[in-house]
Amino acid sequence: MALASAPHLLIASVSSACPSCPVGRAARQDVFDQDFGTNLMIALFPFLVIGLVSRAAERIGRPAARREREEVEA
Amino acid sequence: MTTARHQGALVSAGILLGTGMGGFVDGILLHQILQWHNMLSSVRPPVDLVSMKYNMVWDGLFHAFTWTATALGLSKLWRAGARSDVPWSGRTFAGSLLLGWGLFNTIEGVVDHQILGVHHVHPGASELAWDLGFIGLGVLLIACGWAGIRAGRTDSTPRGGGVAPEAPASPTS
Repeated sequence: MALASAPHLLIASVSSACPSCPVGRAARQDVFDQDFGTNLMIALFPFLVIGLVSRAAERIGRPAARREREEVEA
Repeated sequence: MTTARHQGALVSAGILLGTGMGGFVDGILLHQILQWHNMLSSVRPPVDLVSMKYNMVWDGLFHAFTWTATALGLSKLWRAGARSDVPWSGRTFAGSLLLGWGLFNTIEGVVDHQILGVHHVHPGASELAWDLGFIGLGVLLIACGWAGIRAGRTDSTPRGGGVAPEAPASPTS
């Protein structure tokens, strides 16, 4: 029974993983529809915000930033 | 003796690396191994093969951004390690990693789960509790990370500063 269904399983898995099969084409078409830009921004947004935080954090302990803080404290 | 005070270079690298590590925990554990959600699984539930492949592409893009954050963090860490004004502090670095992971969880949790609702941590009857728990973990990680960075403010030894250079081998005979 298992041996009899093995070729069928093999064909099904190969066809569903192929880069240009109908299912793959349909999925890609849906990905690149009119919502692509919006979805890309949704996926990217947390990384953009954290990138800005990381950039701002570079200032911690810099001589200029230290001087400013010491002036404020004085 | 050199006093390294530019903690920010290490913090900046750690935030990006922590974001990458946290993003990979989310993507590998929650998206792929446990399969609790995908990037857009509340917009397009993965109930058929086309929808699964659709979500797989968006998970892949999410992982691509996570990889980019990790690569940028590594690059910054490498440059920070080459500078004599950067304190090579384990407390600062570990705190920054936790801060990055916490920021990722909090921002992703608030924006993607609560405001936009593109996916939820564990969809179903108690999805709000799971979502709030995810954000709560993020806030806890931010607090721990902040404490680590503050504790590391007193560290001022640059990379390799505490280790004496290896002496050249002397001829024995």
